[in-house]
Amino acid sequence: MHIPDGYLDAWVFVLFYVLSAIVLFFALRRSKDILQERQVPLLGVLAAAIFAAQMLNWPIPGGTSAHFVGGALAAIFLGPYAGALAMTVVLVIQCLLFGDGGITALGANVWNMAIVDCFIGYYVYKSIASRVSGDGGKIFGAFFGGWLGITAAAAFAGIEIGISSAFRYGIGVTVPVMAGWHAALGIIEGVITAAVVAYTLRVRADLLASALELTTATEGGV
Amino acid sequence: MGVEWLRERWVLLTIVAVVVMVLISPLFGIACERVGYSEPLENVGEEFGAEEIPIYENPPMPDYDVPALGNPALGGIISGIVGSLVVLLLAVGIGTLLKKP
Repeated sequence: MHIPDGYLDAWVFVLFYVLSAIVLFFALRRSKDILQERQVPLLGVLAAAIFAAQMLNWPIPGGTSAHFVGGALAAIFLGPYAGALAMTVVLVIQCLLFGDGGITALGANVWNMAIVDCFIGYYVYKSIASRVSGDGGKIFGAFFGGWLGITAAAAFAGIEIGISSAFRYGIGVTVPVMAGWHAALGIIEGVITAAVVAYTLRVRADLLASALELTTATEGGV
Repeated sequence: MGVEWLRERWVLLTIVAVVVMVLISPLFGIACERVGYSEPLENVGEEFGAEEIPIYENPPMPDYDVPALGNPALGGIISGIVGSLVVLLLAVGIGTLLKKP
């Protein structure tokens, strides 16, 4: 889903650079208030694992391929703010060291995969996990968070390319095509996200920061 | 903050997972080439007449390869190790600057 250089009009990539910069500014400020020392290793290790997981391109019969994105997963472990920062690190390194994703499109790619995927993924996860009690709610929440997060990210990619003139068709075509493909491929994203959360709940539930946050929220805290 | 956390079990397990993913990544590349590797976005681009315009043509490891080696599998593995390490260090660095005192 990494948009290369050449797909986006200048006004589109500038707009998404600005939008992403604004959200990242707040993500940095918010993380400064809430990021605990014990979460720093998690931030690093999770970002590295997501980078490595993105190197695995799964072949899909019919001439397409997809890789795990991981924004929802990062946000479920770290919360959406630090999660977005972890994903941004991954995307910046992919762009600068490996030429994966265009330099001009970096703002749009951060918007889709670091911001939309993290925030949609996290709030879908949280709303399910806070309504369905027990680990089952968290695992289901992780599945739907992973799935809908990547579908929403793809829909935004569809908007960005659809409003750009390099594409002969507008968003009426590009959004359904991108979202449709990723809604199908996103089931794999959901399954992987749910599997990692299920395993973590069994061996080190304390690593899921948002799990703590959910507990305090239901106990009447802020 | 020290580096004691590197000895924690979950950290070691995740690092092992990263190394395994990096080592098997060339196999995925081969498999994708077999089915005609391209992502939905690339297919959409081709179908709708959009063309990539490379601006940044010489990244250090283009397309997760080290061209000087002439061996894409080895280049991919080296790219994976370097990339994972750089991401780890950068994210830990940012986290260290941001964390609550």
